[in-house]
Amino acid sequence: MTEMRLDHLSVHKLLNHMVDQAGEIILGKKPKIKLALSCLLAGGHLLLEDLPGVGKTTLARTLAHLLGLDFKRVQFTSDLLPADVIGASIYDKKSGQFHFQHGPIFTQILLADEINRATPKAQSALLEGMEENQVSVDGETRPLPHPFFVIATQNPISHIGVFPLPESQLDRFMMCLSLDYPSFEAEREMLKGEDRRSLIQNLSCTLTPEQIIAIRNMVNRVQVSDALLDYLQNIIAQTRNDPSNNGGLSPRGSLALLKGAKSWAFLENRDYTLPEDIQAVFPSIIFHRFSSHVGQHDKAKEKAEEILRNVPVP
Amino acid sequence: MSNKINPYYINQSSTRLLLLTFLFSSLPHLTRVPPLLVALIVAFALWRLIISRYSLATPGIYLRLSLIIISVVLIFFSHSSTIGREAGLSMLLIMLALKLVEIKTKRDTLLFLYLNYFVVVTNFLYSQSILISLYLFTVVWLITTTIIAVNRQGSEIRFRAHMRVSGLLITQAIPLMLVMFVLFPRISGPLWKLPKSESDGKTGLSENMSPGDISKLIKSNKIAFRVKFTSAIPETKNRYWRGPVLSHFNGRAWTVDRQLSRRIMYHHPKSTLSTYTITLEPNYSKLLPALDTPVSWPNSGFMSSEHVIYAFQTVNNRFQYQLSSSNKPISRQTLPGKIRNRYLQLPQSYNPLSTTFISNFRRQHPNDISLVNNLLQYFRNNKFIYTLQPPKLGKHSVDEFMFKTRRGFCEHYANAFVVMMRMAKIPARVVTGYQGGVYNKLGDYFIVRQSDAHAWAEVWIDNQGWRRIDPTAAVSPDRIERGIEASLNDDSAWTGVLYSTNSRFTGVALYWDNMRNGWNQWVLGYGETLQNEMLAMLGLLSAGWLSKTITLAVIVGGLLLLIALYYRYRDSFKRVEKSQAIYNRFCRKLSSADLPREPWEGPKDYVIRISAARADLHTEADKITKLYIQIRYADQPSTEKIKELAHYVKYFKP
Repeated sequence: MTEMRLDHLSVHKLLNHMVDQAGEIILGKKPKIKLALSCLLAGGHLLLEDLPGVGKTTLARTLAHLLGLDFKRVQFTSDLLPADVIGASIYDKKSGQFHFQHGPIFTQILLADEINRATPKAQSALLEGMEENQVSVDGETRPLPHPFFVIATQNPISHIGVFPLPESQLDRFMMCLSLDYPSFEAEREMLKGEDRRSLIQNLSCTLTPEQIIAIRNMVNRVQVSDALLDYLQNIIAQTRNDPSNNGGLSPRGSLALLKGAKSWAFLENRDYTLPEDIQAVFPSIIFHRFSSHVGQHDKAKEKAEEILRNVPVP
Repeated sequence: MSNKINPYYINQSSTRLLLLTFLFSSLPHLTRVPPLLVALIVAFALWRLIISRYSLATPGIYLRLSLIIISVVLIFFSHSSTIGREAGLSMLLIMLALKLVEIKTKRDTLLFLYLNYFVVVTNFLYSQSILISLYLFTVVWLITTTIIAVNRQGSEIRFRAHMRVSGLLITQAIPLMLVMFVLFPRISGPLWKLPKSESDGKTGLSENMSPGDISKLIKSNKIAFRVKFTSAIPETKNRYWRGPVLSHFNGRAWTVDRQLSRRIMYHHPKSTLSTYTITLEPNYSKLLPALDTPVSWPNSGFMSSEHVIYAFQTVNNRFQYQLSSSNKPISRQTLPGKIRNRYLQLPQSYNPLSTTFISNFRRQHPNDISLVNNLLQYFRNNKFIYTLQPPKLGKHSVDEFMFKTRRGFCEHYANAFVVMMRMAKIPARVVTGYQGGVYNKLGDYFIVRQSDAHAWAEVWIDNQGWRRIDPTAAVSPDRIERGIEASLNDDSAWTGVLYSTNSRFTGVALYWDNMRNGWNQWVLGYGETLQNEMLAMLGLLSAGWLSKTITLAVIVGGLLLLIALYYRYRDSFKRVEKSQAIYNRFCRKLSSADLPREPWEGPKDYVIRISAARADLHTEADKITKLYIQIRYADQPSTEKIKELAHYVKYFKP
């Protein structure tokens, strides 16, 4: 597999086109789509958290389709077992041997729908896969496809029948987005238009897995000046110094912030990072990391803004 | 002119500068290149001047090719070769002059100038003296200045400013130069030997002596060697520096008798010693002069049975060695008959008058010692004159000298004396060498020049051995006591040399020679041995050349890296700081226009807000912000961009 030779400008056009296409399906949510895309381009896993029926699954399907990746979906329920996600060794009568039956996790994009409806045992089945890009079954380590993304959706914690994701697992998601209700105009257009699901089928998938890896390398090469690192570290210090938090952003969180900012800058067609990029991705980076102790989304959003306001741009 | 000149075109003042640089870097060479070729070089240089003056086209490819061929042919005819030091030098200079003619692009100009550095280096193939080094150092300065001037052609900056810059550059390079000098691996061996041309004039004693040889030598003011005594300094009259011993006479010339001059394997010193160190100038022979008579010698040489020290290899470079000598004559009880006969050898049917004279003399003085003394007395009493311009002698040189002309210098006296001794059946031989030397108080050493060359005699006295007899001393004691100048009383044609030799007694000249001696020993003589000593002093074990190279590379590379990093980061750091100060000024201006930047607001968001509030400011603010972002966040802090930013902010009026 050779690394694709892509020039920045055409890649940027392509990505913008993807955002536009996705915007045709999930109406009026372009900034969120862009954030979701930057999360995936930075190689992070995405958590979508909102009320049921606002289009979380649609967004996940749209992204998977646009990226042209192999896609599988697992509906998490309270009786889901780890083997349902990972797969299991099954005895074959004819050959008299055990055969590993691959679970849905062996895919490039895994949509874990309503992840917090499953028990912690089933949730943790995803853990190793998300962090190490591999799973261990029956003492055997099996690599996952490359690239591997998890897009998970979850219902608000206040809903009935949910097992909140532990912080350790939340931290493994790079970004968390909420979609919110559509605006009046957007909803009207949706109501008038075709069925969203069928629209997805009509999307052209524009990228190959190799191209995605090449783009991820390009994102990695986006320049970060010392001044920007100063700014980033000041923000992180701010999250850690605040006594109202139960601990600030983890180093994994600060890496996620940097990667997200680079990816965002890349989508903005720049090869260097600006404070604005950090500001753009910061709320979604800390959303899920703080919401568990803040409790409410709105509060997490306020918190993010407060932190940003307290750190001067160098 | 129909041909258009390239967009890059050196202007007239640059051309003059190039020519001047070329002139100075090749100036010492001009005497080494045949006049015809010098004329060719000058013609090419003038051509360039004309091209620049009238904006003519440079010659085309065919013309250039034919010029090359013509030049090579001329070089071949002048040197009868195209390789070797002299021909190579001519080739270099002529091709460089041709390059000058064809300069079209900046690359050509720079190439020409870089090659001038090479011309500078080639000067060291001929001379490595202090003066020439200082001169070449100045030329390097000039070349560097010219490179800077050519690079900034068309700017208003004056030549003197360029000189200052290049002077600074060279000064900065000096520490590096010193480190390289001390640590650069020296390899003793043919790799570093200077090429030597056949036609190179050699001065020094040779293995034969025909009339006029020594008088030629005496006119040379070149230094033969320097001596530093570590024991008591012998008196002037005893400072005979022994050179080749000549035992075979063919009637005209004296040569070394190979049968008599063999390597001896052991030697038993018996009497008091003088110990001293000699720094010998290259004499392109194997002779190592030593104080009469040597008793110990360096390992790189041997002593012959005639007590002359020879090196195993030709001395092509300055060479330092330690010796010790006895002031007593060599004593040996007997001379075997075969050897004795060789020391009595004389050609037949020469000098009949002297033969008769000596047989009479022998009858009067049957004792060998009294014969010797009386012959010396004869010289003293018969108005023999010491002169460097003796009349020419015919076939019977001894007869004519003894009874007709009676004018001559050391070689005539030694020749006549030894021939007559042999006629009297006393074994005798001619010894050539140097006598005396001038003491340099500043450096506490003696300078012995070619003009101190001398010839004397040694005679065999039974039961005593070889005795040194200097017939010149009998005629002109001053020559031996006070040096050659004092002894000459009749020469007018020789004033030029006389003047220069006299001047060496002045303090300044001695001081100068002391400096030269230091230069020879510490700069030119800094070879493998001295380097190892130096490294040992610095605490580094004497290492092989490979580890020396690595040490050098690490030290020099590390030093340069540190300097480079320092400048790289100091500058960009400063620039970034500066750009922020300028940006803050921009924000203050806007703040007074009621558009203050929030401390947490990024520059891009800010400019969007400004543009929304005041559309008239959009263009300017956007320009400034973009520049600022490039400097601060895109890591492109160039001086030009900062200047531009400062300029925009200065004229930004919200």
